[in-house]
Amino acid sequence: MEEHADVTARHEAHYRLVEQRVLRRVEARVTGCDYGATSYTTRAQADRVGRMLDLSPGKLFLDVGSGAGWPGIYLAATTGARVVLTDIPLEGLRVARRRLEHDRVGGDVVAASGSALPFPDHTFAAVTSSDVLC
Amino acid sequence: MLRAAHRVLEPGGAVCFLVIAPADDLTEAETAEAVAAGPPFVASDLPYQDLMAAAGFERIEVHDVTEDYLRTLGAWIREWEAERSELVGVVSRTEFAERQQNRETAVRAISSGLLRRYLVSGERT
Repeated sequence: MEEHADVTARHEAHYRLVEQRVLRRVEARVTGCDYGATSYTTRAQADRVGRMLDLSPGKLFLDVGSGAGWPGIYLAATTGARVVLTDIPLEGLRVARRRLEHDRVGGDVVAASGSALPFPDHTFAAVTSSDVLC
Repeated sequence: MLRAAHRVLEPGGAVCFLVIAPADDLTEAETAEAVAAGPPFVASDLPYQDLMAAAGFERIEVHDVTEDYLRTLGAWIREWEAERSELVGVVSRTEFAERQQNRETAVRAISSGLLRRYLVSGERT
């Protein structure tokens, strides 16, 4: 298994490329969305997560290890809930912030490790993540 | 991460996440093989039911979504191959080959029963 620093560096390099059209095109054909991810989470699974978390307008949820925003931004866009996206690679969060602004989705990005979340107790109505360390 | 998630959740709040993990009841050698074959975030060899309970969650559900994982991996392999000529100009030939090889390795580990993907949920009461 790769060390954390190696994984972060590789993710940073990946996120510098994710706005390339060919990567978005392939992602859309595989997962059904185009957020710059190489995820195994499909659109149908993201919809299932949104239902299980009972996301709706007025609720605030956290996406840990959000990468460039899949599926956190998608869930916020489709449910009306607000999202806070956290991850360690800054390049991914920059892509996510641009997407939040472009899509006019309510939310914010915060650089943080999933094991040391910089939020007060009882901040969120829901928490989600997709394939990050536990 | 689960303990931190529990802390920041409101009472009555829910957690729901997707995770790739070694299958339960593997030998130590098989677990090591599963971890090596999976993506870099595969780390825990404990059942998620136990990890969730230890973090303080209740009403825990663990759904096996390995078949979906296998289908999605297959789709990544096919679609990358279909766009090979353009992709090697973006990520380099070496990285293209490495990513495809990693996906094929994960497919073999899933087919051998070593690697699984779960949808896990729980509530903070």
